[in-house]
Amino acid sequence: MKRLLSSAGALAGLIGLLVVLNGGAPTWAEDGVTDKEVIIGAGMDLTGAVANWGVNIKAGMEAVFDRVNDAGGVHGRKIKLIAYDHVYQPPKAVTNAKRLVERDKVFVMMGHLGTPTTKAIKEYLEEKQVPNIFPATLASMWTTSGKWHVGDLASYADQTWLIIDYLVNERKIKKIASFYQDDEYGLDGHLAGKARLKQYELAYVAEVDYKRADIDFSSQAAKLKESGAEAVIVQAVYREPPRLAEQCHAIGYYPQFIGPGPIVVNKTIELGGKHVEGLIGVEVYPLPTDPGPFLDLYRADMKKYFPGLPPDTTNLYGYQKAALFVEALQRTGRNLTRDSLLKSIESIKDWDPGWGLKYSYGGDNRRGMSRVGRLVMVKNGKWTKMSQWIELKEGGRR
Amino acid sequence: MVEILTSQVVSGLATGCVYALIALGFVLIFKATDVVNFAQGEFVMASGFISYTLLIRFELPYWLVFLATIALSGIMGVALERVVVRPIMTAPIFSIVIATIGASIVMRSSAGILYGYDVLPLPTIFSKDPIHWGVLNFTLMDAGVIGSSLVIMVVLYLFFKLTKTGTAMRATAQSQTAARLMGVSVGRIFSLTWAISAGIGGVAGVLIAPIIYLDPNLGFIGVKAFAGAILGGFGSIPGAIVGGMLLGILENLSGYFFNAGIKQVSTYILLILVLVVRPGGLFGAAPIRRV
Amino acid sequence: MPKGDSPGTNGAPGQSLLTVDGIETFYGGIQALKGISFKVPAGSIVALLGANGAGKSTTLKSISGLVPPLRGTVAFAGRRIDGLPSEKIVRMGISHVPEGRELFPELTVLENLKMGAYIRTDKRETQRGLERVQAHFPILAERRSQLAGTLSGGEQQMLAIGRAVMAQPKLMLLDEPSLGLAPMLVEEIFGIIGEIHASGTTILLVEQNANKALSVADYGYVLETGTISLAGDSQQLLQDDHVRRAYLGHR
Repeated sequence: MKRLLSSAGALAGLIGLLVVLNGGAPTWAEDGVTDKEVIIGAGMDLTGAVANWGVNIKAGMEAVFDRVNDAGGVHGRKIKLIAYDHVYQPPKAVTNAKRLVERDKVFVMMGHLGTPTTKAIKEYLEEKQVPNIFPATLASMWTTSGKWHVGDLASYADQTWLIIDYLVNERKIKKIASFYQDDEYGLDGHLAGKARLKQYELAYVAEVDYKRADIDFSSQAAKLKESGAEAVIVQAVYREPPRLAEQCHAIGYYPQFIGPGPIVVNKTIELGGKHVEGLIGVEVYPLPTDPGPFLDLYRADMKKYFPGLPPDTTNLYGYQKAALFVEALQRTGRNLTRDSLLKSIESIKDWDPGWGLKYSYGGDNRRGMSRVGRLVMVKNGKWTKMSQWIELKEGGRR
Repeated sequence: MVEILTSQVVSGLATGCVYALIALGFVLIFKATDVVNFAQGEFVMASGFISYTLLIRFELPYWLVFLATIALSGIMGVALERVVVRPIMTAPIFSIVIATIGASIVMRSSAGILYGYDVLPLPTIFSKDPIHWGVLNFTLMDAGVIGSSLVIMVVLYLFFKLTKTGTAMRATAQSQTAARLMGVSVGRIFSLTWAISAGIGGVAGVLIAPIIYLDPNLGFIGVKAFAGAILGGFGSIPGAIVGGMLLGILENLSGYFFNAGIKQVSTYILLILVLVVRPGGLFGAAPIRRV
Repeated sequence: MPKGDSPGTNGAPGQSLLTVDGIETFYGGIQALKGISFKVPAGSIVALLGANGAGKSTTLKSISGLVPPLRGTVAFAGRRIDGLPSEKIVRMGISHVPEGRELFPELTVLENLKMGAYIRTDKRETQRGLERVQAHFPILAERRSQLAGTLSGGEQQMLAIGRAVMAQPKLMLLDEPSLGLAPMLVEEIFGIIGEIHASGTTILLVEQNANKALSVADYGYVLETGTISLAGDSQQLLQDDHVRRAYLGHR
């Protein structure tokens, strides 16, 4: 009996040991997730035409991850971000995505920068069933592309509707022109604007495009001037509005320039100087200088982890993405899979990180902090609030 | 309409002048040494950063910065010739060309490491405010770029035409053997050629960087300038100047009459058309010997 | 200008100005010169004769540094010059008028002549040299602003020689000055060579036209496949059976 007991005890001990051993190195069904770590990937422009956005978004995200990791991670897992430079070139974005998914085995793509570059990897991610979480592009396609894509803020299309409504209703401007980047980014707002104008029984008086790396817009300026447009919507990033304004001013043409979020960057002012005074942009999240506990935390984290980068809309954009991602991880718990993560994101309702604006998902809403925006203007070399937060109409292309 | 067209031509000419300066650098080195230096555009980029550093970090006066940048760019040219090109001068020409491409990548990356990849605004003394002269619409910036480029070109012309060293440089380009027999140190002429080419690239950098902003990828403007040089007839100095200027104007007009897509390829369409009709380019007598 | 630089002060006539001793020169792996030795006395005209490919041009290039010899020595005015680069050798007083003339075709006649005086720093002296050359070759004065590449063959040869004179050399190496020229022009060129010699320049002349060469030369050497097969003063060589048969067209 004693022998039996001791044998049983030994057996139990052995089983226990096996359980412990197995539990020490559990095999997770998903790529990129281990007991101690979750590896996420991103394609960024670190050296190309929109490097200012890329470098800062990456830093903003890492500031959150560094703080969370220093405190022990989320449910015991530290977050590791692997970001490769795609130079804002779609073919390179594809190569990088394959490297991230197949070699680095990332759990999800997170904060992938650029509309044309993210569009280029869209089908690949769907095929590999890798979620595309909060890409750093607010094109409306991310709100309508189904399960694998989740956006975070109001789209360029929504923002452009706000712009048109403001110009037509408040400024009583009817001669409106569009200056847009000739790719999925520029077209998103450009086409949405066209649709909105139609509802007012109006149309663009001029539609001029440019290519991603272009930097000379004298012919565009000439066409805009000839059209007599009183307002020009710039579906562009930060290098183009200053240069376009300069070249319009050079031919004695002074329209109201106005554009969506990607132009609302300090770099725009740094490059444009007096030529961008009066430039209006749409904001879909607070300014880095606004008050509030979340923004205090943001400023403290940036100062601690990236003292070389001053607070800017660019790094705040990345920061809020990472904060939202961490919230989703918290909600998911230990059992972290791609499906469970997507489910937790969908469970987010009226979640406010502490800046007075709420994120909500659910149903077919894959926008997050949907339908809010406000106008900001360059005044005395600073982005300055023009209006309170406004409910946006849904201008997304279907 | 006329006003808009003239403003298109003037601003195109300003860009074209910068292309012409860079193209001149390509052609001078090619004529003297048979090497196509694909790092030519990087002199433009590097001098942008040099003048940025001198202006912003050391707060030196503009004209001093202008001259110092040209000199430093020239020194950089000599260094590139001595360190990268001369040791392999007996290698096949193709290898040397590849070496210059390598050098350009190293220069671009170094600038990225030192300054980051963000675009920086480079101050200039030329105002971007509009000026109206009858049907002419332009900025002081345009006029400054065109004027400075023309001055540089005239100075170079006089140097090559009137000075002993300039004549020796032309002579060396025509026959190295004969030049050596005249007592010309061909090595020194090569160094001088690289110094002048890089120096002109420096001028181009100081002129263009305030316009199209400064970043480590600025050197890609060299590709356009190279097309300009081929358009004019690679190896021809007047060809490089006219080719570069034409390209700048054509780009602007095609952007005005068509769209950004056409503008982007107009350079190459024109290039192909010209080369089909005149394989040697506008000013080239014979097809290029070798590249 | 240092005294020793001017022509005509090359030391006493008869003293060796150039001494070539056992030079071996290679083109790639092929040996063109197989140990050549000869002397050029100061104030003389020496002719190097030989068939095509005998090594005449290579000998001149070995002296002027265009193709440095691998073995052997070249001494000029008592100093070794083998291994020095061409641009240094020309500064010591040796001007080489190479085969094919090697003009600068896209420079004007005047610019070509000025390039000849590249090593001269005295502008007035260069100007006087230019006047002298234009006196020798009036046609060059006439065509001064024409591009060298547009000159006729005879004019090009005159320009090549004139350009070499501009350097005011102590020794001039002339490679086939009569090549491709009409008989009348050959006479003219050789007349000019005589004048240059008379003004104090020592001359080493490579010629296929052996008759013509020996008529102006003091000494002659015959090259055959990279070695010197025969040497002597001009009169001797003109009488030599082998030379008469092989190079003077006598049967």
